[in-house]
Amino acid sequence: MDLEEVKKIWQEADSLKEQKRISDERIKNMLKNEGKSALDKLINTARNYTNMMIPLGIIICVFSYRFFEAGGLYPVCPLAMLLMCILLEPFEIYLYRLLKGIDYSTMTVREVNSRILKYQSIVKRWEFYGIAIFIVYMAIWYYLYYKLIFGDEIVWWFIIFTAAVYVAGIIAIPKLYKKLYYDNINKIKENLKELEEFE
Amino acid sequence: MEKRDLEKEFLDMVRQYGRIIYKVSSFYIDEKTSLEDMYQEIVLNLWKSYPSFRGESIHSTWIYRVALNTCVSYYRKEKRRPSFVDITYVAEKDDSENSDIVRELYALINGLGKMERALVLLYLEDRPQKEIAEIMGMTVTNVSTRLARIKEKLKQMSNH
Repeated sequence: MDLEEVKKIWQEADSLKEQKRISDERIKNMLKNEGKSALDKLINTARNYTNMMIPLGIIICVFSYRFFEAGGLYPVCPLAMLLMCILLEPFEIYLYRLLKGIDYSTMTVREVNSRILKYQSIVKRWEFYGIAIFIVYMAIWYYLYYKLIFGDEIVWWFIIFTAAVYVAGIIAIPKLYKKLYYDNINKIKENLKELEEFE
Repeated sequence: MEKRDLEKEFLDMVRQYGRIIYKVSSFYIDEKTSLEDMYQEIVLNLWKSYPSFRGESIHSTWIYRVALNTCVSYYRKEKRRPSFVDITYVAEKDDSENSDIVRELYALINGLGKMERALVLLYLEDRPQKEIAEIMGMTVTNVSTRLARIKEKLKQMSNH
């Protein structure tokens, strides 16, 4: 295919010629979805994460009140989660500002693409590590909770239930990772490579 | 300016330049993204930016910039779509050889990256290289080099 030839054809023969133009009514209906574009959705999600990060840490502390009642080293577990939420808050704000600063009308295609890919790359990697950290944390939390409630007693139904949940999680995790992480991150890497070639 | 006047002005603009939006949309559709999705996304982003558009560039340049930025950065999980408006165009039936060539082009551009497609479209639309460089955020020399490589790439893809 010779692009020079295609250009001539593109300019001359108009294969995209429409018989009808889109009516004003249809455009007005589109405008009713103001605030619901893909970028708006991403910004809202980023804002929600920013707003809920510290409250999430506090909620976990509230649910872990037995740990605080027990004293000793037990409160370290929920407090560690609260601390992590507090430390993550500036990071969430950074991601929110990264998206909020995108202006399609004044930025170049390269600039916009760079920001979006940076955001996607960070979020996907965070999902990868976040899931692993969360599972380890919940395993520790359940173990401590078990010790608090049941002490040295062996409560089979609780152990079997928890084991079943973790086995199901271990089976589901590789599939989840593939869906959430590998497929998306490979696509993002491809796009990042293309972006580098354009610099 | 009152919102109603702004909306009227915006509609006039879309009526005048709707074909640009359509062409850009058509370059970026795939199995997950329909023409309606992309067209609506572009219109929404144009509307969002319109109040601050002060005519620093000509309308068409501004529209190309917003439309290409929308398409190149577009990402939406399937289940979370706003209700879209059907914009099915009734294209004239054209079985000519020229139409086959354009169809072949569309098949081949699926093998190009998003930035490469943007370059191809602006080239086909006969935009000056300076304008292409400004929209893409590249130097004029880089635009020239990239286009030469894309032309070669398309030739090779076409021969396979």
